[in-house]
Amino acid sequence: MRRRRSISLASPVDLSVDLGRGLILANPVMTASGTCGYGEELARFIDLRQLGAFVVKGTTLHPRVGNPPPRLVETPAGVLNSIGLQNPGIDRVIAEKIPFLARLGVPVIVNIAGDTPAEYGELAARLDKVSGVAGIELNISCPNVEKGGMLFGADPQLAAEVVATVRQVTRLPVIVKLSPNVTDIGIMARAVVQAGADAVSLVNTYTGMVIDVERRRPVLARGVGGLSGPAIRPLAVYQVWQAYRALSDTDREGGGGGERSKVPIIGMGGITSARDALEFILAGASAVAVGTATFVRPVTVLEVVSGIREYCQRHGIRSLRQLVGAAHREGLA
Amino acid sequence: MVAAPQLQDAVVTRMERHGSHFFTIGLRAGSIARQAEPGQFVMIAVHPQLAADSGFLAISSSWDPLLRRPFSIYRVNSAEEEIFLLGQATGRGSRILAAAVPGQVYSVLGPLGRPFRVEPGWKHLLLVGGGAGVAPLVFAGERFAARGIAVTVLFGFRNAGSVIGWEATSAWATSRYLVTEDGSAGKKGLVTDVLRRLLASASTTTTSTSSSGCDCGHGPAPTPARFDAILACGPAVMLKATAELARAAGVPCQVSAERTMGCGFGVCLSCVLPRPDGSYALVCQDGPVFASEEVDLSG
Repeated sequence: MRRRRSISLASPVDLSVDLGRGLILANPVMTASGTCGYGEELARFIDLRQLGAFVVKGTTLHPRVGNPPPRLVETPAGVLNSIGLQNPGIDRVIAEKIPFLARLGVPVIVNIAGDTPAEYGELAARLDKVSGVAGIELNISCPNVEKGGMLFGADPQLAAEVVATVRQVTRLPVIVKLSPNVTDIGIMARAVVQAGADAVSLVNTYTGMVIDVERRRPVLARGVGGLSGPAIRPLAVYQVWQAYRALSDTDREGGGGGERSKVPIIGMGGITSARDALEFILAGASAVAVGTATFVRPVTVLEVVSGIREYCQRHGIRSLRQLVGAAHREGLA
Repeated sequence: MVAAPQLQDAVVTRMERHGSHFFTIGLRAGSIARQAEPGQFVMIAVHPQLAADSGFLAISSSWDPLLRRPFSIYRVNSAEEEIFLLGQATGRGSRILAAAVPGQVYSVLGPLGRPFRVEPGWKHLLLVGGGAGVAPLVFAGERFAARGIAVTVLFGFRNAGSVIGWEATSAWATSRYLVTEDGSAGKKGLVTDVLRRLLASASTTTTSTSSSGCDCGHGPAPTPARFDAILACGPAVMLKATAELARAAGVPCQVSAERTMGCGFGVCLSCVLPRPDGSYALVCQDGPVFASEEVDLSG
């Protein structure tokens, strides 16, 4: 392998990210919920302590067996899934899953999903004092469940209600995971930030369908699924670009903000490498998450960390914050 | 304890085609070859790896198709640290992989999943395989026979052109039965036809060990034998029928199941198989080898 660049160890790059309420990540790269379980599976391949944060599988109040198979079908450069939030329920997650991650010391962000705003509130309240839990991600964008899920993510008032309910019961940083299946993601981003969200993460999957032409019916048992993987990357980068613009003139109190978004965006959608991750950062993401690529190459998430560091050294970037949203400031060709 | 899986860049050592659509690919896979146990599988990227470029790490030469493909480990050459996979070039991914040539580098993840489990004291195993499902059984037979366990082989295929993995068994099998659906090789019929007779003769015999086998199915009637367990892999209908016959005969049966798999290591939750209690087992993590009563094979 040729290495033409000399990498100076004397100039460390500051990759840290402030997600609000005291949650500071050592680097901007995290796992995307639902693509990495609760850590033990992935820990066989990578040192989880090198992650910025670990975002666990979407967790509900009661255990869910998930949707009937088929649950997954490949699409061009992507996958369409309909897992249906299979998880052991919040009690077992707290008792059996979080301690493993907490022992490692990696910041744990718990993704929660409810059928009603009150359920989100109850989930958040139970997590509030759990050792090792560094933040909560509200899943208001799952396309694969009957109730709740994407319903909340498509209506700014409902979304705000969920956030406000959670805000009242926890001091933990609250991240809201947004659906791209909306006309204007900026409206959703502003609504949840004004309701008290500390950060937004986007995008969740795009709703999609694959039809088996021989059997003349949808491949997935539930018909619709969520599309992820490299296929959606340009779509997702644009959603981050749009959200960054929308949040640039919104601060947490809803008043006028500065030119740059003060609200951190966690960007994701088809990231397979540091190059992909940098697109999101330049579009306005302060942090990124690796999802579907983990299925294919479980070490990707750490390769992204080292690749971003290397990029910063190559370009003389002292702090990653210099790059966040930089593509907006460069103007268009 | 099953060894931790590894992600390895493996060089293709051999590529052979068999009949109309089978292929075997040999890969130099270091610790995967050393650690693999019969019944385990690997996930292989169907496109070769590109060298590292422009500051970003080695990547697949294409993201389409995106997912790796699961393959049971078919044979292992420990001395050369080689693993062999048996493929059927029917889907898009497997047809792309079938174009691999020696010298190319492919990303392999493994060994994965729970292997076949042989209890101390077991003296005689019956391997029931159908089509490409014979792959993990060939590895199992070779390994377990080397430990001094008698192994009877019962393989079924569509026709003579699709017989695969059969020759390899002659080196270690105690008895062998071959069937094809059209009778163009071995005996005409289904594996379950022969299985029924083997289990019936076993149940009426108290003390007997098989010494002479039937190589092609045209020979004498199945030698009465008592099987300590059946290990099966093949189409779902065959597995289900095999499990039912085994249960009726009171013989423990382990099946290697197959499902559409996204990741192979327990995070995508796609390869689910219902359990009798309505919950789902993951084929990649809880299997692929299950005790037949653990899962609902028609699910």
